[in-house]
Amino acid sequence: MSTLLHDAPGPRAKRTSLLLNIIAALAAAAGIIWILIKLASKGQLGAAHWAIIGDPTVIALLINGLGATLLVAVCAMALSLILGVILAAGRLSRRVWLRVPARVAVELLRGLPVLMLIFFIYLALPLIGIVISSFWALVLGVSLYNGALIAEIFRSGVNALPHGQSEAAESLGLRSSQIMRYILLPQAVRSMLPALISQLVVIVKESSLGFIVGYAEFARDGNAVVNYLGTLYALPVYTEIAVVYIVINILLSQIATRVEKRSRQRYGRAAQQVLDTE
Amino acid sequence: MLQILSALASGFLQTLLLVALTFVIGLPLGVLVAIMRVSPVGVLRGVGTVYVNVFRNIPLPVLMFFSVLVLPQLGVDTSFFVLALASLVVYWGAFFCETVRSGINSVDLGQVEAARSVGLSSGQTLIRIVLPQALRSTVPPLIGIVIQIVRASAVAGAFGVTELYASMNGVIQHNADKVILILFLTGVFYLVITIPSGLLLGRIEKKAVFAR
Amino acid sequence: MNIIHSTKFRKSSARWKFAAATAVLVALATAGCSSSSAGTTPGSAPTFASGTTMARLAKAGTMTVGIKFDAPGFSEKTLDGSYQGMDIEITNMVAKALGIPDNKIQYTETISANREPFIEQGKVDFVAASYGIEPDRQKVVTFAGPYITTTQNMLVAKGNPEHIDTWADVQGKRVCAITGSSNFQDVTANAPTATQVGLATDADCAQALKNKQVDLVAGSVGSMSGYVHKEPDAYSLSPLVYGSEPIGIGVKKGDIKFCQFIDTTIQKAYSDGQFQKSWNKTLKTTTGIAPQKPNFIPCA
Repeated sequence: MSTLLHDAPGPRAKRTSLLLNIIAALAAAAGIIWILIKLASKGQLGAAHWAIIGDPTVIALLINGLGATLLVAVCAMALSLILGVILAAGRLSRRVWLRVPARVAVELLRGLPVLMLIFFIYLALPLIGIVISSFWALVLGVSLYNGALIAEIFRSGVNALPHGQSEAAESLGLRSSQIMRYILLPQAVRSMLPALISQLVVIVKESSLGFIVGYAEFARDGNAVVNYLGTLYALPVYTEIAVVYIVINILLSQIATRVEKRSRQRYGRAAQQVLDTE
Repeated sequence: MLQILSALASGFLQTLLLVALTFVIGLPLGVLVAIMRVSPVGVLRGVGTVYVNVFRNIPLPVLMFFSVLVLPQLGVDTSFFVLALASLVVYWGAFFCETVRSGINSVDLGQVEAARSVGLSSGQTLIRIVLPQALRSTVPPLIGIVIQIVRASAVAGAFGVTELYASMNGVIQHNADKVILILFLTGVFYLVITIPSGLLLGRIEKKAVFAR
Repeated sequence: MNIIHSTKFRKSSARWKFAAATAVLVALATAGCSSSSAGTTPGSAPTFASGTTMARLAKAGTMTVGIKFDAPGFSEKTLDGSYQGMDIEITNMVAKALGIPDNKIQYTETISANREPFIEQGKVDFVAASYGIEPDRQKVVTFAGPYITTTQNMLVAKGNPEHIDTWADVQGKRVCAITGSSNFQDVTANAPTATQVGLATDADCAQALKNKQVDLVAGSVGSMSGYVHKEPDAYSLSPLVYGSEPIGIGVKKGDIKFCQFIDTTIQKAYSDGQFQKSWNKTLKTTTGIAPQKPNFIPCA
């Protein structure tokens, strides 16, 4: 699009472009330098404090926290998939008494904040006798929302399949549940795979909410470091945490993009649309 | 009971304010960055790409920590609400940007060719021809994003803004025996925004299918 | 049927089944990993009347204790994963009296919301998490102790520049505490015009105080004095003190014998000076409070 939008630059345009490039670069550099100066003047850039990033006990603790976060993410992914398949089957079912509750469940779960879901699990379940650890409260909270989203991904994937598939299956005598299981869902999963991987990114990000609930994961262990050592260490520790999250999520997105490119050759636009909204 | 409702209602209003402002400020920001990303100026494209890659991949609570507790150290002296809003705007701006950008890319190339052949400059083409069509096709995903913003606003409750989630927390402390009722009421408040939006989204999508 | 189940199709659907199965297996495995496993090594030393909790724990050779990970002076998780604080010290005393070695104590993090459910459900054997004794809680939990009476304190900037000495001084100021914490109830009751700011943790509040985004932080004496202890150039404690609360150990409701056992253990430790030593190592260092003689309430 941008190649068509903009002409190949002539000499004057090249000069303007160069000028703009230089101005923009200088502005960006100036902004960064200003931030660094401000930080330094508040004593936030002390080498001793930033060295905390390399401190082995801190690193060990943060790796522990990272492992805890990834554990939540993996479990939440598995649980979301299971829940998503169930809800999608419900929404696509021909039977109204399956379709309507599934629709209600999906709308509810998509509309509530994860924090609220976690809170609900934490406070309401003990009242009916189920006591749940902070780990599973977090995993469940994240899975409920993402399960609903994955259900919608499956649903749009199935709906994007050519009708001929299910028509042919029906004419061969397959029951609707068999059609779903053997024909529609496998193809839908394949076409929706990039969107599913993008959900992983969302799940990894949402598992960082654990620190608000009290689960010892990556962001919270960072908090524990600050708690233990004092607030001067907040900036380096949190910067480190932010960088790690960004790197992990970028890697995941790259995987999603690569898978999407390969499947785009086969399945077209449906994947692209879902990818861009989350 | 009245106390509970009024506390939740004032939290609800704060949530609405947060969401509305995030949309009103974040969307133009997203459009701006999208324009940067399709511009011929390399540095602008680079800055746009860095912006999107950082803020789409950082968890919101971590980002909010920076904006609410680190920015003041740089001399930004303003209320918690504004600081939390800043992080929401910057975060969702990245999502708005990507949505608008895919909208731009989905505009038929023929449109651009026709516009250029009639003599419009690239800037005019972008602003008068491409963007209006792009924005029309991004309406469904935009509504979807607004629903996400409503859900994400709860994080602001842990960073100094007394919105719905924080109000719920406070009310539960006072009334430990009415926990389920309070959770239910808070849920209703959230769903009042998100469910109609979801239904609207579905209806617009259906219309779009027919329009094609 | 053969048209549909072509070999190419079959291979890819098999791949998804494998992927799904792996995911479920991973989930199950991690579920297995995340639940704590209690080892059983027979205890060798003291014997207790059969049927008591002490006998059960001594026989099992291990016990599960609910603590807080972020209550300086009381129970805190350190950077290298070990635990320190007065609650931990008392836990060690109880373990010693039961003949359980220190490394066989399982610590579980309990937060304010789940302390009672964890005891009721038996997820922990007792709770030592700066646990305040309140009538509401006494309905569902039996308390041993108390071993200290704590207060809620206010953290202010070094030297108390705003001269926050009484509740009247708090009026119109910006008070920070954890979102939803009960401190806000006290603030609403005593200084209704104060602005209440809720952040995620005490550490965030302390940072906000440093940034001058708030004027004071309200929290338990352990946490607040912990900050003064760590950064004496940045913080001071306001003389304003409220919400005195006896801190004890929570056991299952009705387990009078275990409650009395813990009381006796603490009493013994006080007589031979171990209690004071542990106190000085933990609470005295962070809060500056000198050891108090435990004044037990009857186990009920």
